[in-house]
Amino acid sequence: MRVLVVEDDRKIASFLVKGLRQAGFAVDCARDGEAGLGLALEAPYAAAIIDVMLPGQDGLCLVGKLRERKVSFPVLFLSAKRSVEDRVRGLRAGGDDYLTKPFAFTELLARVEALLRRSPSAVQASSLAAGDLRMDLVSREVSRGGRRIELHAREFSLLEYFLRNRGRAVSKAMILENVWNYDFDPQTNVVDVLVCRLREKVDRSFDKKMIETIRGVGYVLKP
Amino acid sequence: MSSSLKPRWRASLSVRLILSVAALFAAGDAAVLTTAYLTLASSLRQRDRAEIRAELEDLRGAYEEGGLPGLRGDVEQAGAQAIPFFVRLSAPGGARLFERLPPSPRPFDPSSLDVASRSLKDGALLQVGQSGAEREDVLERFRWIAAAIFLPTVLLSVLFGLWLLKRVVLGPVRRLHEVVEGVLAGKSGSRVPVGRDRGEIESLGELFNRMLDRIESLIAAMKGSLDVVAHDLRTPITRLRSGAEAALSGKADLAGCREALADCVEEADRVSTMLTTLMDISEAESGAMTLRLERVSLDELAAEAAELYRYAAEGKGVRLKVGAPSGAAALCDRNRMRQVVANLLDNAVKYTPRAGEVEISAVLRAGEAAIAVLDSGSGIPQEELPRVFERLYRGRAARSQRGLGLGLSLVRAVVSAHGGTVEASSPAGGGTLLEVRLPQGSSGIMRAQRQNAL
Repeated sequence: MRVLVVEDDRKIASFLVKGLRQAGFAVDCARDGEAGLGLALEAPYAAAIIDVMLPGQDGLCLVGKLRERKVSFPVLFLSAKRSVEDRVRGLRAGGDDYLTKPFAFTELLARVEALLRRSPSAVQASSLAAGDLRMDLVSREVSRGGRRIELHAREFSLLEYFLRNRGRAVSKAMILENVWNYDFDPQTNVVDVLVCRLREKVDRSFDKKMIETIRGVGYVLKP
Repeated sequence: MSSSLKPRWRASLSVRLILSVAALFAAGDAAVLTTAYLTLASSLRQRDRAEIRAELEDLRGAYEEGGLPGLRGDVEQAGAQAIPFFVRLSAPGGARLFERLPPSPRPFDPSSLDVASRSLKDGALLQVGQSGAEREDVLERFRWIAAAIFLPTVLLSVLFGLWLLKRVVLGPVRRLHEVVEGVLAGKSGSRVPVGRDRGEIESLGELFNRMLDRIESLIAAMKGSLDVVAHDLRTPITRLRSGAEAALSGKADLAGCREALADCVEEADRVSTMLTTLMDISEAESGAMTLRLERVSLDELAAEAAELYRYAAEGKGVRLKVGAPSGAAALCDRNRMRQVVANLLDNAVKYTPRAGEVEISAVLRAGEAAIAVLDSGSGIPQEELPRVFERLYRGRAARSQRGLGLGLSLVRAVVSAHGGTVEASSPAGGGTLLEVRLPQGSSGIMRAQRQNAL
């Protein structure tokens, strides 16, 4: 899948391009609005990551022009401004998501993938699995290696989130947002504590540890 | 710069005031003098008319008693005393029977004559007149005197006005002007001297002093928090830099490098969180924070936050209790309030020792909904209680602990933006009680937004 990056800061741009290529995307990069518009009209992209503040024509203007010309791939805005109004302005201009700088690359990747998945094909699975771990979403039963594991509600949500993102790193902010629906950072290590409890139940009595900590990034559930 | 601030001559308050005072005095003077003049003129004229009428009656009597000779005798007799009357008797046909001009130093001028006439029984017409010249003399003298009074009084009033202005109005205004110029020139400590009597201008000066005090304290607070922020940023940035430098030094193996990089990311996140919180605080304090208001159950907020911190408290050996449902609800931004309550709880759990207890409850009182967080920690000394909401304040006991010290400042800023209040107290049973009170209606928020807009 081909993704377009429009970002004027050279370092951020190269870091985005590298990261996205590592994640398996083909990436084109433009440094300003005009070049971005040219590329977007030429090639069919699956998604675009566009900085709001660009030299010359800004990101909002660029997306406005794309939408006028019926170019409809999903757009993720990047911005240093984090107020609600800026977010709303971005979404009104035709963006599909909005991420503020500084951001964790894990989160950017998760959001881009979510944008790409946003097609109506997603069918709700009734169960999730990774390795010998099974989760039944209907009866809300969890087992590993045939052994039943009792989980509290939040532990269950966290494990469900891990399983849905198995093999992929998730940040603490992503966990807070998806498990508790909190979009700010409570300074105490509530996420660490919950992950720790989940590990007790899921990994402790097994040789193979599934939940790994990636320091500075977050956690990953490995099948 | 100051010269451009000097008032222009024409617009000058003092010139306009003096001219107004002088005009007012002149108008008053003129009114008084004119009234006196008109009264004098009219009473003089009445007196003259009465005299003429009396003379006419006199002469009529003389004529009707003694005919023309009687009249002549009367006039001649009067003439000896040089009475200033003009007398004429005309026959019914118009023929002049008798005429006498008054003795006068001036040439006879018929136009200045006041005349009264009367038809007699035999059809003759008797006319008696008197010259108005004498009256005119008196009035003219009066006019000269009036002018002599008018000009000096107006002049005097201008001088008096000047004195009054200087003393009562312009003095204080000039002092205000000097203070403002002083402040602009950098003497931020100068203040307007305020006397005992509180006129409009004096109270303006006092108001001005209060404004300067407020600006000074705001600047001091800003500078203070900037210092603390700079200090608190310096620490993570130093760690960031030294970590990266150590990894680059070449002695570190791959695992060591990864460790250093992870440290860098964590420190960067800390800096980022701190900046976000500072921005939130200043946004809330300046009134720029957009609040999406809805009716929110405080019981729900309390339970939600307790649920978030449940395991963290448990891991620390702190018992987290939720008070009984109160039915309290308030009009507020749900997401912002969640952040407020989470911060309160975060703080309480952080500063409560093992085996301690934290209780969060929603409270409903008359006209007020509140969320209270009580901990069994070591408590905050009485004198430090009001300071816990200051930016980056960390109590003596807490100073060693890691934390951003911004949580409670954010709480206060967001709660104030909602028109509510937050208070810290030390209850009798020990520990610390933090209480956020929110107005139940929307009026509080509108008031808060108005205040912030000012």
